[in-house]
Amino acid sequence: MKQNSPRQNFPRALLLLTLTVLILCPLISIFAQAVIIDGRLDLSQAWSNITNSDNLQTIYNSLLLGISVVICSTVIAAPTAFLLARTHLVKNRFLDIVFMVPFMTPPYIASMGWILFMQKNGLFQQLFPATDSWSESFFCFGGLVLVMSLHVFPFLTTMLKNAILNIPASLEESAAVFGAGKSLRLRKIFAPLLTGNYAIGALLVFVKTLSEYGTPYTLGRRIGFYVFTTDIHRYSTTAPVNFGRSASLSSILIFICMAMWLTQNYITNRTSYRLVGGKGSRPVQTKLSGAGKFGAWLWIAVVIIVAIGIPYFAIISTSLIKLRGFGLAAGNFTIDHYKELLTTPKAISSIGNSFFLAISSAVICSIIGTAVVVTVRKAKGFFKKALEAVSLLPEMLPSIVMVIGIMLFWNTIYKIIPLYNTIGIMVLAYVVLYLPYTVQYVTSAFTQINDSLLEAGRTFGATPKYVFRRITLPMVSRGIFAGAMMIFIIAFRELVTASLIAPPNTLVISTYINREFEQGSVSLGMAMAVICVIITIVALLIFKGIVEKNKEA
Amino acid sequence: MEIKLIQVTKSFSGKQVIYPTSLKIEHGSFTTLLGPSGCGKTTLLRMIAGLETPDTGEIWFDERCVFSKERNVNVPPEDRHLAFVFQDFALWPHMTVFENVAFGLRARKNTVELDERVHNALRTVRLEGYEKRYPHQLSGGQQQRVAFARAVAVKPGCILFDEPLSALDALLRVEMRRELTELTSSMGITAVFVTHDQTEAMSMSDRIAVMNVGHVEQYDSPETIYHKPSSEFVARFVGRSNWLSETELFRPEVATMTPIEGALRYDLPVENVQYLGDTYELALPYMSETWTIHSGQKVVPGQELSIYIDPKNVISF
Repeated sequence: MKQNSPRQNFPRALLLLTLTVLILCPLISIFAQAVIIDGRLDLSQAWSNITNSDNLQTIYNSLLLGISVVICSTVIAAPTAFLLARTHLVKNRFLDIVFMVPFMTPPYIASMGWILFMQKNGLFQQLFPATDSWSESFFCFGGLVLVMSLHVFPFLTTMLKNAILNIPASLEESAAVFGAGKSLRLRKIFAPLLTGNYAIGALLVFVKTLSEYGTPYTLGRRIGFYVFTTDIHRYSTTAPVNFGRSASLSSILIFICMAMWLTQNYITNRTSYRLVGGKGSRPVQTKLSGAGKFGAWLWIAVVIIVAIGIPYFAIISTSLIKLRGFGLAAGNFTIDHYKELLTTPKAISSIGNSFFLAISSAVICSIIGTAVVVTVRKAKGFFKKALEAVSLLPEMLPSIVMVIGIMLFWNTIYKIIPLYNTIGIMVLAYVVLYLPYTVQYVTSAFTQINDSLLEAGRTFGATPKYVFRRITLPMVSRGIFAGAMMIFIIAFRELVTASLIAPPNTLVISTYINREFEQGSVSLGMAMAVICVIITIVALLIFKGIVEKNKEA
Repeated sequence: MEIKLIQVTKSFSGKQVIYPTSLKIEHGSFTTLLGPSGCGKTTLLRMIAGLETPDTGEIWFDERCVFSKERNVNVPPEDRHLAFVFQDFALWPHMTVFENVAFGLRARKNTVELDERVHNALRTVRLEGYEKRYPHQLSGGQQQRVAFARAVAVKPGCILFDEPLSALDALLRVEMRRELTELTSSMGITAVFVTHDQTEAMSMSDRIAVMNVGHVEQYDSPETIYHKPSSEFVARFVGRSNWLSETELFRPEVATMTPIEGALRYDLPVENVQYLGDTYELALPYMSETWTIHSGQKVVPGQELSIYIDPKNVISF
């Protein structure tokens, strides 16, 4: 085997250095902040910081919330996945898209919708005045769990549905022939084949819940329920600012998330049966009776109404209401809020900022991410492992943790590189957070390229550079573009980064909505939310178009 | 177990895949359903197993009616007491070899001397010592044997095979052909075997049902099917046929190059020669057809040959 020449190693080292500065240094800053107290390494103080009773309450709250959301989203997702995979509903492909809507809706917007719907004199009480006495009891732990579950359940549904579709029919048919009735087949064949996938899905839901900031911030704070993300945010922004505490909480959160990812990895490796069937994998369908069909549609309808109908109804109607005091009444509707939005400089500049951040981070991520993937594919040993691991780290950790790290690190080196407190630091943070998307999409695009295609290019006389330009790049370009689109969608509505490190007086869409919701015109905020969702949906449709075309190719 | 199908039909979303079909499969016999893909052979097998429901007709196992449209009888697969060997083997990936084989016994609560019976089944397929392995740790041939042991273990009246050898490589396939027939006949189990491979069908079966677009064209012993095909389709599908006219043909091995009294004589040029080791296969153009015959001696393309065929070996419809 040829040794790597220095000429090959130099770009690799440069790339690794870039990722180290972008990703590793911020994380190290967090640990340093947590254990270095008053300029001295003080592990005992760090430990007592961690085991502080307030912290323990926060940890307990977070874990309780995580577990509850896993249970609640399972209750919603499991029957939905079964219906979508195994009954006549399988033909209704549009349901796949409909069920992506709650997942693509920014969580803070959905929670605002729920608050507007359920609060005192809210839309629910206006529609059903008789419920005045009890409907506000929605604002409790259970309500928080429900709203968070309604956001993540589509993710679990998709995972379970695909897992069910991957079970070859012959495995259940053979159990039937060998004497197993329906319930035995369900217990001995169907369920065990799904447990691995379910465990992975449940762990990811748990991590997502722990990492989520939007809903705990809007809804959780209202009921006095504090979790990791809200506490980290509070200690970092509200006087008296205490970075030590937010760093120690972040450290715990990092450990929990890493442990979850390792467990997830372990389960994936252990339980990934090779479920491939040739002719045997004909689709199985459970024939439903008339009542069964009705029940299936009823369930789907209820889930859609609760997960999409209620929050969107609340958001859209609020954005159209003239005077909130009059509520839902004929003549009390107007599109003035939209007009106002498009003439207010503050609103326009926040839309502009969001576009700028989303586009610039998508472009930069596409360049760095593609470089990382290309390098990883060529490199061996240390560089391969290091680049791969570091580039995917931000996805495994809650974004609030990454952002806190970036704040601490760039604050420290402010005298050398004065990036902190500029819009530049926001671009940088977005790039760090979304780099894994490009890496994943481009990697999967690369796996579709057979090596022989590239070798064929070489045998016909093309130089490696020419092969890259004419064969590799065109073939992965869809992957790059799909990744960029996804980044655009998510960056466009990003809340936590913007609320932590935006320079003074710089608003983006999410922070604008938040500000209006809390202390300005709620209707104006909701009008902005509607615009944000519409732009997201358009981007999502473009994204779907790319992915679908990719499949055909 | 004797299996009787009476006027069974089936269509999928408006397309008829089985036209009214009656078939009697004798007790202890090895019967093959042979036909090109899409002829309905697998559907017929799945209807016997209860995995598909016929649109009309009746199915009887000995004196027991397992399906009757008229009397509204439809015994579910789990109560038909059959065994099935699937094309993709359908071994449960989350169970060990032992658990796979024991499943049918446990499911029917038939657990007396369970260990003993599972071991016996594994012994018959020569897989002792593999009990603790998982399916993915076995080779294709071994997986095939586990699927077979699983079928044998429940002591079924009948084992249904759905192209079970198609996933194996050529050498293994030949070996498994012999093993399967030996095992089923030594245990006296009725076997119904689906395949599109005529060699497989000829070498294994007591009787073959040749199927074509939802019909059974001929149901006979392999010899009868080869020498006395009842239709053009059967003649073309089983064995090589050299056509004399639209209704007459002969099999390659009946042609000789030495004159026989009263034989038909054809003088034809050799178009192509292939050496097969034990023989030379010659291609001879005749009218718009190409005949295939075998020769012990080397012949060069372009050479003129005289071919003799005994008229009583000519098959005609």
